[in-house]
Amino acid sequence: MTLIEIMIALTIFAFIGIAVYSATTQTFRLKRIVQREADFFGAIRIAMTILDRDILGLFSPVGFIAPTPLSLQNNSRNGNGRQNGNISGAPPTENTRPLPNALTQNTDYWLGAIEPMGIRYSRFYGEPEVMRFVTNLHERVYQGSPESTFARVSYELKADPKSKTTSYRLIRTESANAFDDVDKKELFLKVNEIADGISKLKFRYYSARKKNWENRWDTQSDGERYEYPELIECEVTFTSPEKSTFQGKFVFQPGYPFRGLGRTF
Amino acid sequence: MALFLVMASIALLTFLVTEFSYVSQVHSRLSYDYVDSLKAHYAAQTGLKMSLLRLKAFRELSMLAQGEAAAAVPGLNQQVLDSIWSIPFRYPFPKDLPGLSPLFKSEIVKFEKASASDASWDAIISADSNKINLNLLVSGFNLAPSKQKKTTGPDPDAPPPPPPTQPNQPREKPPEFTPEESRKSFRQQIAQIFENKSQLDPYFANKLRLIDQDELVDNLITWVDPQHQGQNRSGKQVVPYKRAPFYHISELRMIYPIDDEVFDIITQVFTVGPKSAININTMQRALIEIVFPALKREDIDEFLIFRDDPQADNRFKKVDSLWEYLGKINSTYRDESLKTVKNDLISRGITLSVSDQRFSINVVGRSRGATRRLEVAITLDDPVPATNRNTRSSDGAPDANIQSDNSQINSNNLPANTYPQLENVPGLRIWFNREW
Repeated sequence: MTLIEIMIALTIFAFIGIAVYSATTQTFRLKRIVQREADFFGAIRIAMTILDRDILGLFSPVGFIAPTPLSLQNNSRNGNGRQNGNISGAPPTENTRPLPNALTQNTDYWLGAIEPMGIRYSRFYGEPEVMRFVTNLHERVYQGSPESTFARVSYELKADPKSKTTSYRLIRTESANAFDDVDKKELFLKVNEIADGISKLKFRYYSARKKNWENRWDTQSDGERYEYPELIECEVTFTSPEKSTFQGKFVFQPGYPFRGLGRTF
Repeated sequence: MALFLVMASIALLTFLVTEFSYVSQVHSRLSYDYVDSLKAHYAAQTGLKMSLLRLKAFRELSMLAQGEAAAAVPGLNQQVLDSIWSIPFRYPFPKDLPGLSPLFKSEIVKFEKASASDASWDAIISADSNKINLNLLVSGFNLAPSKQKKTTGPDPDAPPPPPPTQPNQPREKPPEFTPEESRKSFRQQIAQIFENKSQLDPYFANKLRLIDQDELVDNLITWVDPQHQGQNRSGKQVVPYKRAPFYHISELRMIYPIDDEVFDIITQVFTVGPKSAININTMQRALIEIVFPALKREDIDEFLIFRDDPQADNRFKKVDSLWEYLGKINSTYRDESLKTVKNDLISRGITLSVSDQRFSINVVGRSRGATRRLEVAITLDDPVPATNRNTRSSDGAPDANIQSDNSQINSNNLPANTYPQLENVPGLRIWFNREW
């Protein structure tokens, strides 16, 4: 083997080595990018799945109150065509004692009771960047813990203090102490950040009665009194640290038929 | 050297390909799981719709069976009616059922081939009318509409018809539901089911000594009744009292001293929900002991053997038949003392029926590895179409008279309006549902 042959071999080896190194580093770089992208979209999917689950369980004891049979409705209506006093349409009896004042007040998650049993409709409150409601899909994790299937849930968009750009986090707050009126720091409260890197988020609420999308919803207001949104839309834009963006519209539907069962279910 | 280079390159490429393949498989699986979850959701919804249809058919045929048209449909007895909802249903339809004709089998195969769905579901409907409703502890519970049509038999809520009276003779006051009686009865019922459990389970007998039953009952009543002032004697009731009826049985877990074991014992006999009657044709021993405390163990054995005799249809066709039968096996249920028993039931808020009015539907939808479960609670009601909503105008808009705040409370501390009524054309009222 001559020196020239060795030189040629080394040159070829160097070329091949550089090519392999370059391909390898490029591949690892791409792998990292793909992994980050997958994590980015995975995080969006998880956040939207959590939101979907909570909205699916949107609860209010609407069906708990029996519809008055037509015969009773006709007998008990007053001059205005409206019913008297209690849910049966029957006139108040000695059992109809005044409810404690605290139960007749509207609060963050429950409306004031208007019938003698103390049944309270839950309050759905929605703004473009805030949502509060009661869900019935709470998972009891620890054996023996005093929790039911109900929980108060809220979603709120908050600025991300760590981010250098305008970026927000979606914060989910859940309390298994579902029937307490006061939203206070408590044993049952869990606060989780379910998504970050949000550059824009907007909730909208579909009214089946008005047949249009509303930017705000409050079950205690005149416009939506005792009503719940048929659909909830979440329009969101995420931006990853690599500046790739995802823009999407997700539409969620509560599982309970709040407007009752129609002729064809 | 060249060989080394080739080997190293191949090793590196193998590692990279494996890594890529693994990552892409994970993400592919995640995406498919999402799709499967969606398929399972719709499979569960299909099972629910089918179950609602069966209950609707049960309701319609029950009404037919008690009406004038009953004679035109021979053999339409309660057993046949109950089989409409009681048989578990599934998709894909089983093809190996005994008695299934080849024609039916080929139709099933044809249907499955035509269907694009590869998901499956199982639906079970169960009646909750054989348990006692804990919401009877609420003071105003029987103010709810209670004049629902009974499927058969007289209305046991109705007081016995007053005897003919002289014009000047004061009429006897009919018995009415009293929450105090219901609570007294409830204390006894709780004590009895704990006692029954203690006899079977020595471990629980030891545990029972540590359970303050009075506190349990007091906490339960305070939880459901807005009027009751609880004491929280031990101070261990950490969750604030709800002071409204139970919306779901799981709320029991929030009440001290109900732990998981006590929860299981209580839920064997008690349930929660809107008002409905107890079905005398399905009630079991524990409940019979509570509803008819005068019956001895031997009486109950005899009762169950008679009612559940597989050789004969001895199910009660009306509530009066039950009183006749009980009168034969126990003197407490005869003559004058029967009237006392009936009044006692009314004061405890217990209503009897020969068929079921309250049901639970449990559906499991599956698609490959994904599973979705549905739990739905339903009561059969009179149909109420949307046009009869009492707080909405004809276009469905809220009545202008609905108050926007709590300022206008009437003399009973209640606003003059009521909650709006749901459209309920099929007469099936879903009062609870959850999917997970």
